[in-house]
Amino acid sequence: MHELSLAQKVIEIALEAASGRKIKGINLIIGNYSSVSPESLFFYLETLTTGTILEGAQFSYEKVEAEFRCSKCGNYFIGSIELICPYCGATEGEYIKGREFYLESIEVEDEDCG
Amino acid sequence: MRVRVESDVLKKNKEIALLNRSFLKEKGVLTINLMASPGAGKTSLILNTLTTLDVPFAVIEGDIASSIDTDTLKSHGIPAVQINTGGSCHLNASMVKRALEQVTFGRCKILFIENVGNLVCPAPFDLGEDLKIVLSSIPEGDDKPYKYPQIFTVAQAIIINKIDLIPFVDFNMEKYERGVRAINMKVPIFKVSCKTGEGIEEWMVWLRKYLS
Repeated sequence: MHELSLAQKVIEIALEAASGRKIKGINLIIGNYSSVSPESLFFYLETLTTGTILEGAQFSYEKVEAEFRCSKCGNYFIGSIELICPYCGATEGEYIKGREFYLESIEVEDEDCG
Repeated sequence: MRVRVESDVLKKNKEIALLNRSFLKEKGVLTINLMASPGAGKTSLILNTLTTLDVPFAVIEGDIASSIDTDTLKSHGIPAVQINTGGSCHLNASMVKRALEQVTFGRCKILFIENVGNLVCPAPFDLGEDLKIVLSSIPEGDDKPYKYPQIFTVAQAIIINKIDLIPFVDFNMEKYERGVRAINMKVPIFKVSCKTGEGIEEWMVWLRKYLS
């Protein structure tokens, strides 16, 4: 549910970066362990932008898988719910990445060169 | 045309959290962000901790509505400031900043911030605290680290409350600890009962290290 306040922040940042240009798309990076549900976030983004100059903008995201380093064999692996190292079967790992949540870029209408 | 932004969505929250952190550092206060599901015993843990520790303290209580927890603390002579989030499922740095203006610090050495009862939404929001503590409780079940891994990865200590209920509940401690260790290898886990006082001393010993 915190995605509502996050959606508001995404819109604020996008509008600031667009400096008045029409926004056609917003591209986000969302880590698997960021506590952000993309489905819920996009629902709020669409709801909040309906009837505004952002209506019709395309929202997309790139997922960052949660990565861990095995505490036993040292190999890196993508974390699943049970978190078992696929190399040695150990069940302990050091968190490496997956909490990312940022606005990577926006798509704006090309500026009129004429 | 693509415009690169590379902006952390929580940047503004983090900026305010930094302000809170330096303000609290200046006051010489150890600040704890206590996160748990509803009913895990956050207020009980705060009460137990603060009545055991012999240092001046303050509490900020975060709830969607009501002042029930603040009233409980005040009835025990503990100074508490209530934040009502009015529907928001977590505290953010700006809510805490406003609450800090109402806290009477005096010689206060420790500030507890009791977050809104929720194992999901509080996790990504830095409030300006020194320590993020996650509280679990036996009746919630041993699967919480598996179902809500994010909050367990950010915790600097984990406390399991209500261990006096172990004989009555199917809670597999080994499974719970394995779930925590999988994602947060070195985090200390304290097993306590706020009801009987069992295990509180171990938690106190750990906490006192941060107070010196």
